[in-house]
Amino acid sequence: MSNGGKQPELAGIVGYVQGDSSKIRGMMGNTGFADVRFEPGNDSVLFRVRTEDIVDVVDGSQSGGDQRVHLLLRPGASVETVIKQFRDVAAIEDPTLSRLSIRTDVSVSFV
Amino acid sequence: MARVLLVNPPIVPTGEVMPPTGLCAVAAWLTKLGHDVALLDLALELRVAATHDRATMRSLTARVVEEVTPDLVGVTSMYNNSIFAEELVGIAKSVRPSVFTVAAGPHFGANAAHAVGRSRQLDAAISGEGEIAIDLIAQYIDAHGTLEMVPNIAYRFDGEVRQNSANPLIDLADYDFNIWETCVRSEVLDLTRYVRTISESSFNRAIYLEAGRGCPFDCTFCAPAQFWARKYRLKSPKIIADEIRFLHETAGYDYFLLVHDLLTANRTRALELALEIERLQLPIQWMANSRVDIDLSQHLPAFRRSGLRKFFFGVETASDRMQAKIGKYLPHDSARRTVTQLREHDISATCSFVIGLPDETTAELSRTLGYGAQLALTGAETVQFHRLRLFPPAPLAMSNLNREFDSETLELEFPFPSATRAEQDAIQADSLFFSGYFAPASKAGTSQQLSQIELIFQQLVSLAPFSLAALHGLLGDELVDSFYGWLLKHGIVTRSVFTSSRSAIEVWHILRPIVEWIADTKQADEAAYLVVRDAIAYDSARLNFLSSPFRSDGRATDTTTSGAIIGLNIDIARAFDMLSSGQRPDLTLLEPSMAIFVRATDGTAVAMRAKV
Repeated sequence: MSNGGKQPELAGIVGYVQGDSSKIRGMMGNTGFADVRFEPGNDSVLFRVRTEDIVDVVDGSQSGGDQRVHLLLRPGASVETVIKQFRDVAAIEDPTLSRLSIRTDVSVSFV
Repeated sequence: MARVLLVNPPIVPTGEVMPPTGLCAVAAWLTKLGHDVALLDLALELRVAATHDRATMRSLTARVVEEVTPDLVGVTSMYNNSIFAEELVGIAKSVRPSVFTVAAGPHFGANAAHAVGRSRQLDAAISGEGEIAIDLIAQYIDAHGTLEMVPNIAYRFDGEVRQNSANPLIDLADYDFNIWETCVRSEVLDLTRYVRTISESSFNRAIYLEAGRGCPFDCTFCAPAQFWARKYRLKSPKIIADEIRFLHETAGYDYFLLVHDLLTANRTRALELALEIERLQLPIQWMANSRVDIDLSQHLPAFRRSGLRKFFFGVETASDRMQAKIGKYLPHDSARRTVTQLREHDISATCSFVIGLPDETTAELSRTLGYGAQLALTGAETVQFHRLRLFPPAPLAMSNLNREFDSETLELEFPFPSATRAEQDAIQADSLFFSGYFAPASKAGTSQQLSQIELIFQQLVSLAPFSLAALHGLLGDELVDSFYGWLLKHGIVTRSVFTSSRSAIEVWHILRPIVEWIADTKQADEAAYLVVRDAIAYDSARLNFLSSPFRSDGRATDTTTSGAIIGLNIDIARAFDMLSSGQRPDLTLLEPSMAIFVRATDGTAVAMRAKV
């Protein structure tokens, strides 16, 4: 159901990058894509964003060899979920998730 | 004309306070007839005073009676606060001995003669509908007429209690005025004080609004249908729409909980109302009661356009035999079909079940619990499991069922944090008047067992319906008996462990071992057992994922995640489809997959299945 329009303005995405965030910071403002891992050390599922959509990068803790990052994105930025090594992606019709949201525009692609 | 003070006793100790709809209707009715009306809402006053205790309730009542100097004091009650309604009548009499006291509402109205017999300070009680009777009592106080001429009342005469004959029900078209505007303009009601009790973080400003009265059906457990003589009546849709407009424009209310026992019993009139609401073109939502076997398919687009957010459905039981026993007769599986259809129109549903019916077996109760979980997976926003309560004049309440005092339910609903020994004793001493606090015997379990079912399975269906549906898929009709086995070994769970301060994930940590223990009793059914284990893993990951959102300012916390992955032994997407449609899990589900949770940049969340 509706969350009353009280959505966060700076949410962006949170994930992990190998090493530290300096590489992403260096790409900000340029044309291209940045990949962020769902889980540290695991490249099977990634978020992919346009680097020109990144407004800021907030560093979190280190996890193994990965840096936790919060990428703040400009309003309207699209985020692609890239799924590698897996097949047959399908939505799980779980209404307990949609109770918290009316819709989503998550785009998915396979690599 | 008479000076009338209407009193609403305290109802619940916490939460937002909504104006008392029934009392406001009577206040507006009397105001229109020229009486001088004041309203004392102790639910509101105790919240505003920030001292929710009996002493404040008493002193405030005495002070208001002194200030208003009423000729007539009318009290209402909702069962849980009747003992205080009686006390408030006593306070009014002691402060102003000449005042005439009258009680009404769902509890006193169903037991009028008994209520007068219980209390020397209560001069009369109104059976059923109150508008005509309270006006005639006010006229009697003004020295016009006699009590013998007042329909619907029980009163004391020559030391005995008399009950006058009933009056025909009023035509709700006589409510040809906006009750809220009437109350506000005559300064009976200050809506802004109610609005201030609503939390800043609430998504909506919700308010109860009476749409009409009566349900033509004859379910044996239902009190309101009998109270309103099973006659469907609807207020003028134009007036209801005007009340919505007024409440929205003057106080910002935007979610209207329409009070009607069964609004959609007359589909044409319900549609008429929806069209009137749609014409307002206001950003509001509303909800109302319906039945899952009333076909509304043609009207759903219009309902949705008007802002209908959800319907409340009493599904009661998954057992066809019990459906017949309780006189409800819902067609088999009609709830699933209706919830599915509503979802296609982006209309949600609350599905409510009654547990512990007198003749219900543990197998039938197991099916009800499983069906509730399936409805949650199908898209019902809320599924409720309530123990059977015996409220007069429901036919079951008037029968000779064996019953025992249920102090736990009393404590749960009591208007103050705890009932004193004396209050408990007073309630326990009158099983007829307080029959709602006497639990009927059931084949499905003892009072304590059923209380535990209500407690645990209500939490489970809310937090982890997939796990509950899977557990029912494994245990089937043995689900309840297996839970009783767990109960025997581990002892009861106290309600206090589920305080509102606990997070969803903390509650899940209490529930999860119970689900695991029950599942472990039937490991031989390999496919169904693995589905339960993976459902538990999925629900754990989902709750962990959802419990770490972004902060309200959009910043991430140390635990915020935008994505999560878990590996499973089953095809999780197919398992969802299978369980939500009530199919039994089988070996075809055993195919490794991943569940991928993704939170979009706008905060919404989805889950996907990917095969390995």
